[in-house]
Amino acid sequence: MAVQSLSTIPERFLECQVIDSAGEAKSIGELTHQRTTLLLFMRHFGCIGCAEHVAKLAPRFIELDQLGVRIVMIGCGSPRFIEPFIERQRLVGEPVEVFTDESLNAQRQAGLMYGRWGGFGPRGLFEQARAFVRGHVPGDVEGDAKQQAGALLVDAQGIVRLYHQSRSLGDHVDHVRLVDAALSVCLNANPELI
Amino acid sequence: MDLLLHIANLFLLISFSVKSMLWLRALNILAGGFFIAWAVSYSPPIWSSVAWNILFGLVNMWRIYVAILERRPPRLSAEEQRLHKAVFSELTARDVRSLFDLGQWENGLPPEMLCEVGTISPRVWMVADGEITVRKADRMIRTIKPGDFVGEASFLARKPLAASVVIESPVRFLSWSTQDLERFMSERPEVASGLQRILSACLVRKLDQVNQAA
Repeated sequence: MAVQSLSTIPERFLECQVIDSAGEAKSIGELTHQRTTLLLFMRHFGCIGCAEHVAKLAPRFIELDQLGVRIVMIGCGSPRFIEPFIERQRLVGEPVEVFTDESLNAQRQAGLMYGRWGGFGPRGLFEQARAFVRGHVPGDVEGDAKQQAGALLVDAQGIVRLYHQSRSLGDHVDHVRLVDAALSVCLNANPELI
Repeated sequence: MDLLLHIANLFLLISFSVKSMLWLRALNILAGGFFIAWAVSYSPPIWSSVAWNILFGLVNMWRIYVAILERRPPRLSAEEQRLHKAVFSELTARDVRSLFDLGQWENGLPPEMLCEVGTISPRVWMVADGEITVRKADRMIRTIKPGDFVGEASFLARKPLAASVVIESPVRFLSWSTQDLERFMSERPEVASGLQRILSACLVRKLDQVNQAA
């Protein structure tokens, strides 16, 4: 069953394993267990589009954390690229956990796109130039450059409240829409709030 | 007469080296003036160059006028300035002006029911002075103090109110229709994120109160 908004997260996706910088494996099921979780998939750890995406989203991490959202980033390179990525993106001390899945199984189960076109097609190239002009720097390819990004907001009951499948390098999830979905989840979980 | 051409190009060169867009345009207008003088002094005058430089000058003048207007701080009353500092500090004075213009100031006198339990709130209220009471089956759940919102949860989650919103003492508040607020937020995403931050901070405060009470 494919991942889609307002559907329960598929069992096969929950079973996917991701690895942290220490090499410890966790399943998507463990990460999303009984807590609203934002799964942010990146193309690869050196991707300029992902650097732009993180810079846009980072000012909202504290807010999401206060709303009870666990923020999980998943790349696709070697675990040794995780610490430098955290440092480069100034994520030290932020309420974010970074994992990777080199097998791309989690990305596949999440229904994310895979192909060269998203990063190196005309739109991808334009978005690379736009990110560069905005002050972001491309790094080495630390993962699979053909993997495209995406985002899933999963509530504590395992229902996908927001699903974004990036079609190209600069096609990021809208942070206003994302926080809106997180607010909605928080309010539905706390009906006494008015 | 080539001196005029050199002066014009010199101003153009200086304009390219300045950081400020306003100065760049001003120096471009000056350079354009010398280009025009040079073109007119030619025999016969180069009218096409005159026309193009007049057009460039007009566009630059228009953009300078707009930029100066944008730099002027908007007018905010003492009450609005107080709320800007206390509640909307994340937004610029200009954005706060547009947000306040969208809303409606009201003085509420008791007893008045603003919105009943089970209905989808048509407005979002923000208390400026006094307080609004939230009641559920005659039980007071909480009071909304100055700077806090009510009805925002119903607006954000698009769900009916879980309690009634009542005025039990004189209160001054600002309110927005949920439709206007939704349109405003979709038209101005940069303001929407700031406003969202303010509303979520308010919800987190309420959530803390609920958790403490539990």
